[in-house]
Amino acid sequence: MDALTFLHIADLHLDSPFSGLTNLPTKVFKRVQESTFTSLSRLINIAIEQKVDFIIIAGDLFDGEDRSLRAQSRFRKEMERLREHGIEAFVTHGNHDHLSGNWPHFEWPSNVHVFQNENVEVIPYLKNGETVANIYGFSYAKKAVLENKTKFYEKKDGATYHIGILHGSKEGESSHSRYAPFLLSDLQKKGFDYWALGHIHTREILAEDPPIIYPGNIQGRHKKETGEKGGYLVKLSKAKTEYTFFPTSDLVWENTTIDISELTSFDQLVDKSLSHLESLRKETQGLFVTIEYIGTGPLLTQLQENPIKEDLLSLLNDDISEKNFVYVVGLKQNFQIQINRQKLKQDSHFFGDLLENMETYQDFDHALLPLRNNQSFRRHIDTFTNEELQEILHDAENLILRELYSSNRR
Amino acid sequence: MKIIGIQVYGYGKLENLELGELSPHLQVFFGQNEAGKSTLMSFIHSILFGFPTKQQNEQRYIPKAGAKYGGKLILQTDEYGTILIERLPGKATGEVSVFMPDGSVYGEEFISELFQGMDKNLFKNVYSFNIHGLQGVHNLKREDVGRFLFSAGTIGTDALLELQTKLVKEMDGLYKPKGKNPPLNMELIRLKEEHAKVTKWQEKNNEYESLLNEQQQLENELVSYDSKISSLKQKIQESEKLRSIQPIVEEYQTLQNRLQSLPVFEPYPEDGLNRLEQLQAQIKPYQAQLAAINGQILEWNKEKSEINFAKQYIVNEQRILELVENKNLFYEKENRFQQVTIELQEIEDELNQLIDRINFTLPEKDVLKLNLSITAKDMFSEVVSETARHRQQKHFLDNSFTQVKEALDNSEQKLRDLKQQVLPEEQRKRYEKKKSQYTSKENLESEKLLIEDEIKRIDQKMQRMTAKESENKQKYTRLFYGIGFTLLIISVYFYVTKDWIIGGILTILGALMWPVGKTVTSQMTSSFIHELQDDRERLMKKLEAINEQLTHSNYSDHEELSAILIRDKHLIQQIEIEKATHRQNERALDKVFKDFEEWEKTEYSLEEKATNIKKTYGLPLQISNERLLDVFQILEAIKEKALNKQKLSKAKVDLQNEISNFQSKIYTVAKQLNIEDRSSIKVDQIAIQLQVEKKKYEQLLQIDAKIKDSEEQILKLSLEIEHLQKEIQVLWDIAKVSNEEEYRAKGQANDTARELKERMNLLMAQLERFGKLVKICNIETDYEVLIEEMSAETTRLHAIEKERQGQLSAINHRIQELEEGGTYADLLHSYEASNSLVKNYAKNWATLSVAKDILTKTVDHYRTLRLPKVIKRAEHYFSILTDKKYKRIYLDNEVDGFLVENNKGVRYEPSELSQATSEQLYISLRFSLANTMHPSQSFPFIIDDSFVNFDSGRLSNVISLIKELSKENQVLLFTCHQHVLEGFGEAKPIILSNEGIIEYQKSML
Repeated sequence: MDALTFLHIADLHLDSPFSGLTNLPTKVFKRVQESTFTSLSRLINIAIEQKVDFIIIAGDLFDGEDRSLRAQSRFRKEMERLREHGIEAFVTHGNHDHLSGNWPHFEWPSNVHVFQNENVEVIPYLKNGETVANIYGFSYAKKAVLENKTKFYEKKDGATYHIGILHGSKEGESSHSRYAPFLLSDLQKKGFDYWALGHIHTREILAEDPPIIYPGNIQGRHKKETGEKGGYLVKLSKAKTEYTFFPTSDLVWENTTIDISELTSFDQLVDKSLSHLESLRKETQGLFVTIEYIGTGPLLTQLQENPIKEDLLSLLNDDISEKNFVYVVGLKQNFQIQINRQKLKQDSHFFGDLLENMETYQDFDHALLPLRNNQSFRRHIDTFTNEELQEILHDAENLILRELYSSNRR
Repeated sequence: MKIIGIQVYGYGKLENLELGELSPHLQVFFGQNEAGKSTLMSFIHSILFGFPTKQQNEQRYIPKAGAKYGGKLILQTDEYGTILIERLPGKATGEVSVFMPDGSVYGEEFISELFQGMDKNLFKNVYSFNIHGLQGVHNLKREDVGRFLFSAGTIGTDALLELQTKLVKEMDGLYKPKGKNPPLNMELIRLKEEHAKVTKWQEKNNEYESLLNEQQQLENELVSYDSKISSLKQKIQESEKLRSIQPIVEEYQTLQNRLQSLPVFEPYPEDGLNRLEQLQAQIKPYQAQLAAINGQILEWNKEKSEINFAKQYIVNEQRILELVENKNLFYEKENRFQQVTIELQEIEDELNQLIDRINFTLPEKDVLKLNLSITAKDMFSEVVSETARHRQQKHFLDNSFTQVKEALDNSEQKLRDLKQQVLPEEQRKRYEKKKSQYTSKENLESEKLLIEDEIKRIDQKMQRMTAKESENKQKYTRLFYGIGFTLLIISVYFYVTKDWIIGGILTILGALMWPVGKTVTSQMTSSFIHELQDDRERLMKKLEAINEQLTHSNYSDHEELSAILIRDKHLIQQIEIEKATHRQNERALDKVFKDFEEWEKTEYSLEEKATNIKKTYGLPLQISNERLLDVFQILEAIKEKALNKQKLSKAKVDLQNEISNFQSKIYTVAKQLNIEDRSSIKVDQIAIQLQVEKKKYEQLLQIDAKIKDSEEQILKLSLEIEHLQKEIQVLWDIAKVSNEEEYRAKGQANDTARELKERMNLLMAQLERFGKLVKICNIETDYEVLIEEMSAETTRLHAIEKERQGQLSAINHRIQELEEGGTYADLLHSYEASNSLVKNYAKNWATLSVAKDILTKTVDHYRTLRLPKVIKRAEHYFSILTDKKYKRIYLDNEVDGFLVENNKGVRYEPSELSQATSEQLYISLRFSLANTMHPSQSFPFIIDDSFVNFDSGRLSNVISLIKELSKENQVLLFTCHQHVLEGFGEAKPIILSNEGIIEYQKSML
């Protein structure tokens, strides 16, 4: 009977707005707003149904330093529900909802245990007066924690199970900035029964024995956070360890491709796109899909015109009234103009120069200056990332080559 | 490179076309419209760079008729020598093979190398010239001409110009740095607004804590006000209560005073006056009653004395009643007595009668002893029946005897008769034998019939056969006769012909025929018929024999014989039977005799029995036995009568006794009643008298009872009265008074006091509820005023409270709003959406901007570095074309354009030039570009009837230019105009015609 069941979730980012959505109808917009809460609610339902002993939330419960009141209020309600069913909650704060934030102070119900310190602490979990598990963790005091905190996780005797909560990234991961970096081997050496990680929004099982798991965030918010989102239900016993993923998100992001090689008319394109979208439709969840058109066909040039793209987009999103709607967020194509760059570049004529310039172009600042000069733009819009700049360059290339090179002109 | 050979397998309308030995410098193709010039041009491009695919918009020239498609081109290159490019249909753009002089074969990549990375479009843009490009000059606005030329001079088409225009337009369409309308601008404004809203709300969020504090404060205030108001309310309530009890208290005090002023009223019995009254009231009726009862008693006594009563009757009541009861019985008995006597006499008479009838001899006393039970009766009847039976038996036996005797005699007689009739033995035997003979006769008869039948049949058969035979015979006879006759006739013939021999033979033969025929036919009698005849004869013989046998016997005898024999048999049988019967009869007779003996014996015993009976029952012996039963009955009757007689006698005696008894009783009673006269004693009268006396007695008793009751009552009443009077005395004792006057007076005072006390108690009861209040109630105080004051205060406090409550609910509302945070979240999300949109637009705009930038840079670079070369060459060409009218071309530093300087040194912008001149400038630039683009390689120019509109002068200039160009680059010129063709003079044209392609050159393939 010394088994332990708990729910492991992280990166709730409650009330976080979605990005990349424009011109949503009100109903969908409302649903978007509610989506993080919906997912949380479902997770709490699962916790209650499965009669877990406690839940672990490994950081980034709220989206910013200024946590919305609504988010806190709703969170409190959910915790109340847990309390009514006698379920505890162990919470650490991450880089987004760190302790130095400016927020009105909410009192959480008595079943919520928050790690209040940047130093690693231990909070015991008691069942019938017995300490069944020791939970270890820390919260971010400020926006970032740059040091490796693994050494502070010391196993303390007196409990059957030892569970560590860590909001951070693996050492060496370049795509994410360093936050409380750790080495997998270090974690494994500690001899804990489970490591509840947080911070990375794509769920991943880093190891199985003991389980070291990123549950991912609970609701995708833009097109880079694709697939099902939810949390892990973990069952620890002396015999075995089980962990099951439960998808709970109300809205799902997906990327898909459609081949236009065989299509000859706009109608066909619309038809094919619609039927393809239909095949992606979920049962009850709403779907935000980004379509990439691949292949070369007669419609190639047409599709690169923005007005056409806009028309197509509005046609595809004509009817999004159902619960399981499919909303096309954006269209893109990745067409390469077939040219022999090497050869052309060798020659000293306009095209050669053009190609050379395109490849070596760096002068983004100059090109974007008029935009940057705009106060509002400067204030509110983040600068383009390198990735984005490269995309812009690529699109510009395609545009130029298409117009100058591929078209039949006189 | 130079194209020196073309071979078309199939392309459009061209089929199996071989064009060899194209001029490496200038090759003119002449053909009318529809001759296939465009087809050929397309062919060249397709072979080099690939067939147009289905997806592209170019015409594919797929042959309608034949199956073949594709072809070859022979190129002469500096680097590789003469190479052969063959392209056949295949995937997408086709399968290309490049055949090198050394035999190696290359593919698509080689072509790319060969053409310096150019593809079809680029190649065409630079090295193809047609009329459209030239006309393009015309279609431009003045101000665009310069830029158009610049574009043409840069990449060969107006694409550069177009693109630049488009970019600018689209960029402006999205965003203008100082603009408000373009989408991006608008969105930015919106973004700013939304951000402001969000910020505002964020501030609101910061209020949250202070709001919480305020809430707490207000709540506390409310609590205090609440309690104040409560206490005031309480006080008001108290005062109200005091006010209400004030009058009561006053009254109470008044009463108390009065009470104290009363005279002594204690002690006094409870409800004293009333009780006195009551008691007194009670006594009165009793007294009245007493008097009444006494009066009644007197009256009753008087009544009593008036009744005259005779006691004796009552005393003897029992006896009298008895008498009355039995009176009727007595009369009855007397009657009875009479009856019995009469009956007795009757019976006596009857009895005597009966005795006479049978001469009964026994004395009377013995009669009663006679056993006349059932068994006795049986005995009698037995005798009777036996006697009868016996007699019957005797008759029967007599009859039997007679019968048997008769029978016996009969049978003897019969026997004798029969014996006489029987045949003697030997006679019988003889007859029998005869009979057996006759039996065979019947067989013979039947056999005879059979034979006769058979004979008949044979006859028939024979008849048929003979008929047939005779037929045959006749046939043959005829035949023979015929033959004979014929022979004869023939012989006659022969005779006639004097063939005598033959005739003679024939005659002979013919004559012979007759006997022959006859013999033959006669011998034809079939053997079969013979057989039949034999059979017939046989049978006839048999028949005869049978008939003989039959006639020997006599038919009628036979019958008689049989009858006799039969009869005899019967007789014999009968004799036997009769003998048996006879024996039986003898036996029967014996039996009869035996029975007789038996009968005698029983007859004797029976006689004895009867005699006994008679003696026992005192009967005379003469009585016949048959009549015994009757006698028995009479005996029974006698006995019965005797018994009756006895009974009746007894009854008579009894009755007598009873009657005398009763009479004595009556006398006794009469004596008691002092009735002397015995004769007139009537029981009824006595009874009546008895009733009367009885009634009187009852009356007396009643009166006595009433008197007793009344005396009891008197006693009771006296006691009651005494009792009541004692009670009254008690009251006086309690009240400590001695007479009624005092008593009453005290009573009055007591009542008053009581009333007062009662009232006071009531008041006290009312006041009790208020408990302590009563003590503090001051009669003097004006509570009304007090209450008013306090109410006013309450109202005031209420008002303040309400205000505070309003404030609290407002704050609660705001807190809730913040917590729900719907608006804030909406704004945030909306802001984010706006942000995304802006980003989108920005990205699009950025793409355009970057493209523009790149272009600009490249153009600048080109203009600085490369364009001068182009211009230099163009100058030269321009000069040629304009007959040296224009000498210089300069770059325009302001815009992307040129300036031309004529021979007089005047500079013009392209917009200022005439169209013709613009055209010439265009041509110059194009040619120049084509020439300078690839300095190391020279590619063939393909010119398609571009100069149709030129006048002869211009035309010749162009032609000379082309001729000059052709020195370095191969020029392939297609035209349908004769004069153009002629302009080129020496060059040997290839003539394409509709009918077929006329080969002018041998192929070098």
